Amino acid sequence: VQWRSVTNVMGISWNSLAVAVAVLGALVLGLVAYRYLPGVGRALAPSPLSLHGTDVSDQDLGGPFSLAEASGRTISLKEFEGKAVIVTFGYTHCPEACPTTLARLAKARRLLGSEGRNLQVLFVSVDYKRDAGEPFGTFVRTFDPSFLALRGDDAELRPFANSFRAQYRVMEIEGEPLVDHTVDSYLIDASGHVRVRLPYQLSAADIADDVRIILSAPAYCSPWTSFFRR
Amino acid sequence: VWRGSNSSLWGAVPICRDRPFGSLDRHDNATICRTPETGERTIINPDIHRQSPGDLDDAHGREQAHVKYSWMIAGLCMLLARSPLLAAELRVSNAWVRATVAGQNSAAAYMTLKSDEEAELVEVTTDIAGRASIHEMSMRDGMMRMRRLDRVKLSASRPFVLSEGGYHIMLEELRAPLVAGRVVHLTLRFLDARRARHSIYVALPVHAENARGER
Repeated sequence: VQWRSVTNVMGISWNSLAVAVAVLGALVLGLVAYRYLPGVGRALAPSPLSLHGTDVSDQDLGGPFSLAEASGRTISLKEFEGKAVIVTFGYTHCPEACPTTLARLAKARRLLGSEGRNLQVLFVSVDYKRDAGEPFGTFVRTFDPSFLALRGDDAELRPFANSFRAQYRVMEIEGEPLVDHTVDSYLIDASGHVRVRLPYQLSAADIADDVRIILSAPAYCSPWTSFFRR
Repeated sequence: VWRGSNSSLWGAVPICRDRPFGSLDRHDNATICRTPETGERTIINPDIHRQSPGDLDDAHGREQAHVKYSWMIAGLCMLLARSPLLAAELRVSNAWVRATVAGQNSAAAYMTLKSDEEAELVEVTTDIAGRASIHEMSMRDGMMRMRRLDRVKLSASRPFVLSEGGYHIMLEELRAPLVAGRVVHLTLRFLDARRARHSIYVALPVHAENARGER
């Protein structure tokens, strides 16, 4: 007697609530089966890519951006549509990590052979004050003439780095700047979507493999889109 | 103020690199190194310095009924070893500096320091750069972090390794690019256990590649 009055207050009869729950449950079960049961969902589920780096396709990193090149020209991600792009952070005074990364990326591009043309490396400086003008551009191009050196002040760079969940910090101790920064690189596919985080430790051959995979992989669709895709 | 190493043999004598590079030569069994203060060359017989105070202590303890002439010499050596006049040895080995890339005016230097007794690295100076400082680099969660150290404590007989991915001497405002195959020099200043200052002149070959042999 008590429960009947309660449901009446809400204006929903117990019977119609039960029907609604049953319909919803059936829908969810159906979708799960459609998505995951062999033969039903297999054709739709994108097979995981066998990458050396970490697949970050579903993390919604990056996004359109434009930053100044060392020479002053503005570079935007749109220019590289149809190419794989690797974004990496660093600075010229970097004793070890940045030259190592750049050397590996240059080697990876060479390992790609003719496919190397479809890879654009963007080296983004986290040391705005010191990385300016020609020396900065020269430093980056020494590794590979196609590499681009980008820079931005804190107001431009902070949101850019955040969009990759990358971090940087410049501390000045007795006039000597000490720079902390993320050393992982990010691989962006031909449609501008960030697909892979390349850890610092990856070899040039592993990076080249991942670039090849991403260049030939179908464009990324969010799970929701791929869920219904036939 | 450091006035030179004449007051103590530690600074003037046995401190030299294991491997000879550039201006350092091997001459028979002796290692030759240049002392920065005088610019003179000191010849060291490594055999003399291989005799550590510990060995001599042993010898002194065993010496009992038949005190031979040689044991007396050993005892004398031990006394000398204990005195500030003949102090422990500090070795610098595996020293190298990374070649610069066009556009770079800084570089990292690496080496292994090993001291027979506790010591402290307090300063690095060089003619080739405007600034030389001791840095500690650490890599965590994809982040590279850089710290500056004012001094580095060396434990007795435990090597302190400055190598890639860890400690290094950061040379900034280089006066000229570092070209692979050349040799550059640094002066390391130490405090020994008695807080006396010593300096070591180190020759470092310039290498283009990193430890993994890339580039």
